[in-house]
Amino acid sequence: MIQDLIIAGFGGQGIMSIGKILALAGMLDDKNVTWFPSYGAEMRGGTANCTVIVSDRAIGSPIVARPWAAIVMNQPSLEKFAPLVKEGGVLLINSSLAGNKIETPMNLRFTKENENTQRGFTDERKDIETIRIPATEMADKLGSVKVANIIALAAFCAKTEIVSIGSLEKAMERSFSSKDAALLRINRLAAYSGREHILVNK
Amino acid sequence: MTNDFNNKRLMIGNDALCEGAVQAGCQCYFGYPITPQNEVPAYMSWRIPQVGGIFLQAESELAAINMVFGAAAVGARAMTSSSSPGISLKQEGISYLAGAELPCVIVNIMRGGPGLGNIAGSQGDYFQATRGGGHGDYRTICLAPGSVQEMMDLTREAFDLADRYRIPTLILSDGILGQMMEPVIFSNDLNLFDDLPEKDWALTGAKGRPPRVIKSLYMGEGELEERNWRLHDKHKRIEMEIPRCEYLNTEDAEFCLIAFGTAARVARSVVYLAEKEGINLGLLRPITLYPFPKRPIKELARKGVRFLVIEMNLGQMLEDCQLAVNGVTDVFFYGRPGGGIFNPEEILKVVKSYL
Repeated sequence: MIQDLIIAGFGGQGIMSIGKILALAGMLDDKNVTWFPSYGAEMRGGTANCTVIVSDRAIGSPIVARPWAAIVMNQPSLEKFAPLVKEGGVLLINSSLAGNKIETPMNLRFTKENENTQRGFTDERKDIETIRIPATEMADKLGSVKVANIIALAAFCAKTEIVSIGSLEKAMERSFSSKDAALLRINRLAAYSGREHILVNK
Repeated sequence: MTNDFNNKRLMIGNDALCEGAVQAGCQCYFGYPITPQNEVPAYMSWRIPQVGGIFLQAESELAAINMVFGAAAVGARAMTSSSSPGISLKQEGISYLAGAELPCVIVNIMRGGPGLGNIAGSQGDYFQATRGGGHGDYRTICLAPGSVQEMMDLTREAFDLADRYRIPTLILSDGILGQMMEPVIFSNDLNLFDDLPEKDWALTGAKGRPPRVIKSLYMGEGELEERNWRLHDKHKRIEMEIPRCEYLNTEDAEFCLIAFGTAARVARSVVYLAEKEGINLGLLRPITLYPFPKRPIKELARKGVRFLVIEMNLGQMLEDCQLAVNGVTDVFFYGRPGGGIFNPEEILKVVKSYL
């Protein structure tokens, strides 16, 4: 089985990081993995995306035009990548910042100026499975909007079982432990709440 | 991030390449920044001093390649890296290195051209890499990695090949392979050639022996021709001994893709897609670009196999494929130049149009 996905959002949302963590978790599961960043003349506040492929077979193209799944962390990413997800695929939307009417957290008010965030965009696709998770809001409640990425990743993994929970935990440990314990703790908490969100809403 | 697990480490291609050089005992790295190869000097700047080697950021690409000349002349294992425009600047030095028969490793993480082009991966430097590149009648060995693992393994091997044949050896990769991350397995078996010739030409100080001379200037009657025939013999030996390629699904295929590097990765996906649709499609991936694996292609052509060459340029390796097939069957081409990248679905459509 080849599972390829695109993870996209604003620069600074930790898009590359969760891509790497997912790839590492896949490696720990003894799968073939490839992580490829969008790189170029990027600017602060611009969009960022990366492709992650997890596969039992040797991996072909690192660049994927039509992914099996997408994790979109903001509205521009939703608009760009939701139409590309293959039929029968999975789309995880950070509904705090994309395609949903929700109260925007104080520190993210600037997105409210963008009327696009109020569109019910994903209703247009019935041929894929859509997961909405208010990752930024949930992260805010945990004490740091920065962990929204981990909430989204954990939710995605709980839904799709692309990697095992154990490997995801281990991959996170390796990614954060060198920095500080508090960082690992809040990210663990984030992963737990992301997973819980999926299990409770099953 | 500590990514080690069971001897495996998740690395980007450019970093893996550096580890390959370190494993080969590379003692000197000279570089100058350019995207998308910047991770190579960045990694080498801390890694090579750890193993007692020298890292030096040169003042220009020209300086870097001439530093390689100096290091190679005293018998050290030396490497430089750059991306397309920087490699063009190094060509004079590469020609001198080839003329002086100095072993070294030169890495090209290709970007779009011509000129400054852009910083996305491309394969536009195939001609330059496989035809010598600089002035004069010479060749350099050219290896084309197709994965992060090969970025490491082929770089390690490049040092041995360079020493074995006393020839500059190129790693021809691109921005995509350089930037992407994959698990690499660290091998424990690092001695590829135990029988490497002693460097009895190196300038190690003439105490107790006659001085040695390393040069590429041969003004005497008949000297240069003799030197060039010697280079020629060496090239022929290389062409006999080290061509290499990888096959995928070529056993029963009547139609076969030929691609190297990143294009071969896309081609692999095309083969997977074809499998799903019940189409017999093969893939032949040259690993050595010089020497080009002519014989395997010729053998497939004799069986009536037709080919589609896929490149991230507008038809360069195509010419080597045509020379190998020599009109026996069809050789078609699909490519996109610097600035464009194809996807598997797009190529499958092209394949179907020829079936």
